[in-house]
Amino acid sequence: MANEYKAEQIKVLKDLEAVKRRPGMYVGSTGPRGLHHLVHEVVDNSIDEVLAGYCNEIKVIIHSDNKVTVSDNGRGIPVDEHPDYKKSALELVMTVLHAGGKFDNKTYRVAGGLHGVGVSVVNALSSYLEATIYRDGKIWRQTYSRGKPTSPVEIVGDIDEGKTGTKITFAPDGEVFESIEFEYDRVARRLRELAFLNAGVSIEIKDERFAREEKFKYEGGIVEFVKHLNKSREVVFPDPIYLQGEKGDVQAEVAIQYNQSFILDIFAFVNDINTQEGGTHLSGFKAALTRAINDYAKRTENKESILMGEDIREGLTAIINIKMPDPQFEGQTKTRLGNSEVRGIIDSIVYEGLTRYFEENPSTAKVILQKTISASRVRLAAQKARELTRKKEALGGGSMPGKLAACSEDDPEKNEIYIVEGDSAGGSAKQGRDRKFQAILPIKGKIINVEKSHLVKVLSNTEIKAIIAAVGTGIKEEFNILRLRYHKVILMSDADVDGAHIRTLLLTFLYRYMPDLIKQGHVYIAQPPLYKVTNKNKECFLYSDAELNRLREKLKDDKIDVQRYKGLGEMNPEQLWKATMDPQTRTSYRVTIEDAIEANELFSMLMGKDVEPRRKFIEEHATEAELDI
Amino acid sequence: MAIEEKDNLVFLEDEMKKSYLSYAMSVIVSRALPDARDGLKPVQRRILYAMTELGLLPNRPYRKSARVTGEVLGKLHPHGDMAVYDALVRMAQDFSLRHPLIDGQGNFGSVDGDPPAAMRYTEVRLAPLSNELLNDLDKDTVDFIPNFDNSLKEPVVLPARFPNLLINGASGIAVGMTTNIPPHNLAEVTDACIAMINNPGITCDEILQFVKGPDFPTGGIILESENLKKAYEEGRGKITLRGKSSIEREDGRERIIIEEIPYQVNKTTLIEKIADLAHEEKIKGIKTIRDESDRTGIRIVIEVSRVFTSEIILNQLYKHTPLQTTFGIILLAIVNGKPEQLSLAKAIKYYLEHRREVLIRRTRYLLDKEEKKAHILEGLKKALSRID
Repeated sequence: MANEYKAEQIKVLKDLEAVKRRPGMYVGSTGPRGLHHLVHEVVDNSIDEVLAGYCNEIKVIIHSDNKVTVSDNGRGIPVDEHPDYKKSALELVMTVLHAGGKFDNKTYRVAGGLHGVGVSVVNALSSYLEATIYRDGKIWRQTYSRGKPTSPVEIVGDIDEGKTGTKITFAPDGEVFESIEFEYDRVARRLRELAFLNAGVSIEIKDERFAREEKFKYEGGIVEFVKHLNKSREVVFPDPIYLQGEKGDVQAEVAIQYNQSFILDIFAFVNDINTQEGGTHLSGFKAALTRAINDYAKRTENKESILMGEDIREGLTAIINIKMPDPQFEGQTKTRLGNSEVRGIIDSIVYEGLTRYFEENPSTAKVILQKTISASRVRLAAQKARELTRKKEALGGGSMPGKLAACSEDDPEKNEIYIVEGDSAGGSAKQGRDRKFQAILPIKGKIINVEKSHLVKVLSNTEIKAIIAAVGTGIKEEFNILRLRYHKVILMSDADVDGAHIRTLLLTFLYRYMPDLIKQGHVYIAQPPLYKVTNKNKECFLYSDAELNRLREKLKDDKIDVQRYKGLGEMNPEQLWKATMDPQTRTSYRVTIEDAIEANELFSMLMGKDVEPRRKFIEEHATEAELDI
Repeated sequence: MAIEEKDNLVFLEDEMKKSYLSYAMSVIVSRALPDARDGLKPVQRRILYAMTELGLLPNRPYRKSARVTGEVLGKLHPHGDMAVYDALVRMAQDFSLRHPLIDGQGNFGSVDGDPPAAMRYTEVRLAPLSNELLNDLDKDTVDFIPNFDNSLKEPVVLPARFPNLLINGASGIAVGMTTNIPPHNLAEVTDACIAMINNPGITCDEILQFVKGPDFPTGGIILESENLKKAYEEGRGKITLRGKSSIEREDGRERIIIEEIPYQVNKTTLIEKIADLAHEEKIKGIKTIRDESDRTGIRIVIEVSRVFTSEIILNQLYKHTPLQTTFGIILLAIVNGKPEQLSLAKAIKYYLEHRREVLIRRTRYLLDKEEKKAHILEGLKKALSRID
């Protein structure tokens, strides 16, 4: 690559003030998510150097005062003066929005921080930032506060001619963020992911607060990523299949492995961004996989195959990793790839690659075939069982479970369904609800753990059947959001630890069988109160111990009467309505997924068959738990 | 109509972690695992404490189990009634506990797996041995904490004058970990405790001079003592447990008599299993099988056909039926609020440390009381001396 990376390549598009006014728009939120996004942005800058082929080492340090340092051995941000702006390019990159090399296609062939808001946003949201550049045998430095330079670009030392790099240290602005406490695990997870996606790059993380450090370097890249995802599962064959190809500017690699679970995990990345909503690359991959396996089945088994996509994807773990210039992102969260040419490219790479792989590795091909054929048998059996229950329900008149207390309104958009723990709470909820738009479905005890049970067994479970029938969308491949009968599915369980357990079981079911229900924001968690406090004939509900302590302090001398609610059944219908069901006064939380890969790992670890990872997790996080004795 | 309410978000990952952790840790710390000091799970401790409060002492009349269960539920243990009653029943079963802590009147189930009578029928009072667990509770020997609604106090641990963890054992499934402690002989473990008091640095080998192995209430024979030693050293290991049998000969006929079965084996399932195997001819030579158990004890009789050898059949029974089982020892208990896998030596050590503290606190309490008394007497003396 002969293109120069100098000040001329930096183009300026917008002003930075907007960031400070509306930080949420640029980094997602002012909560922990946004805070960690800062690190991602800076690291993405280094990753861009990796993608351009100039960097193979990144180090991230979380300092004891919650400052973060990110350093790389890339080319270093240019420090010479920009011809149009008469300012150092470094200062432009750090202080002007949408300034960066990425808008000039020649400098970076592919880049991840594609929206280019990049490091200037981090600067605007940091109370202190220091950029150190190693370039042309010199060390350059500039410091900033809340996006404004507090020193000129200075030479502060010399360095070996060949050594280059960028080092950025920043302290997030405590006035912007709710908390400036970085979580090691959160940072490490993204770094590990980047190391997987960029084979051979060494990424180190060090936490000076807890003296923890890790180094991520995976020569195997996404092959090791797939192994990592399957680490707590029983795999069908030991080494993932790796396919790779390049067409035009698009580079694609795919790693595939099957495990014995019934779960499908496909993660598709474009320029290191997780495309959670899928897109052309994912549909190309799915089509090619189905075709390749069906064709192979036809050739070897010599009969017309009836393997459906869902059979082929049962127990599949796959990573698709694409590097391309100018990706078009669409969809609600801008994570669906829209470039239509990618579909064909992936299709041919995967189809041709797999066909060749199957010829060369007949034994692996055979176990995959066996696995998918048995999946299709189970699917047919399950289908029959489902049809049977449908028929039965038709005979019984209406397919609604007997325990559901439906609401009178017809419009699903206005309607809510409360899935309630236990019949005793269900009774309170039924009497306390507004029957116009609130339906109640009581669930008995602890529902089946779907992570550990097979589809057939899950579908024969009474409680699960009731939930599926009440929600109305169908499950898995049959899921259809248009048939959703209630736009708010609210989980309401007791405010004790068993209630928490039931919540995790319900979420596991929804995540595995109706993931789009969660992804599209229809699932809520009701928060029942912990305490009722009565003081001089006035009542109020409190939702946490902290609130209680605050109230106790406020009403120091007054006598207050505290009732601790152990279960929903303890509340009168009127109280339940006021505290958890009345839309005007209740507190409820909408469930969203922050990181699909973490969510997926969590579910297999917490709810799966393998005990050891779960035990380890519990041991590591034991101190964070809220105990109920 | 669209109701406007503020849209609070919660991340699925965070919610899962938080909810699961609080459930897992609560089950581990305060439900499924026994405390290393008194060997009791919270529900057991609460039952015993509630019974002392009700005055159900060994020398008093029995009271309905339902009353005890109600007392425990209402005052100390806000969970399901069946959970409490099941725990109560188990403490009264002489085939589950080496030394039952509760003296039961009525049907409390049997080794055949018959269920106990409902709690409205059965009656209970504390067994004499429980006195030793509860003794000195009123002398400030242990800490008390508020109950769930802050209206009463309950002990966090019992004074425990004998090492109940090892004597009665425990089994429990928590989250990510389980415990399975076999019962032991009271005299043996007590000797081991005394030996450790005299020699705090005592080794596992030396302890094993006193404690020969588990002592199951249902009897049986333990094979492979090497595994046993390892289990006691590391706190984890598998031992093989076999029922006790003999061969009777009469008129040239042989019959196998089973007099003891392995711990926690259901006698009915064992007999059914043997019958099935005989029926399918997987084990040949069994003519009939009769359960002659009565109030004097277990007696299963297997009639052997003339041409077959009893010893061979017996070996087949060991192999294919629960007449021989493995018992996975896991000495896991709560130490300082955390689960810890204990060696035999550590289990005894923690118990002794607890006793030491109890004794110190009791002595201090008594001293305090006597000093107060002395103070009053002192005062009275002075007052008397000035009367004139």
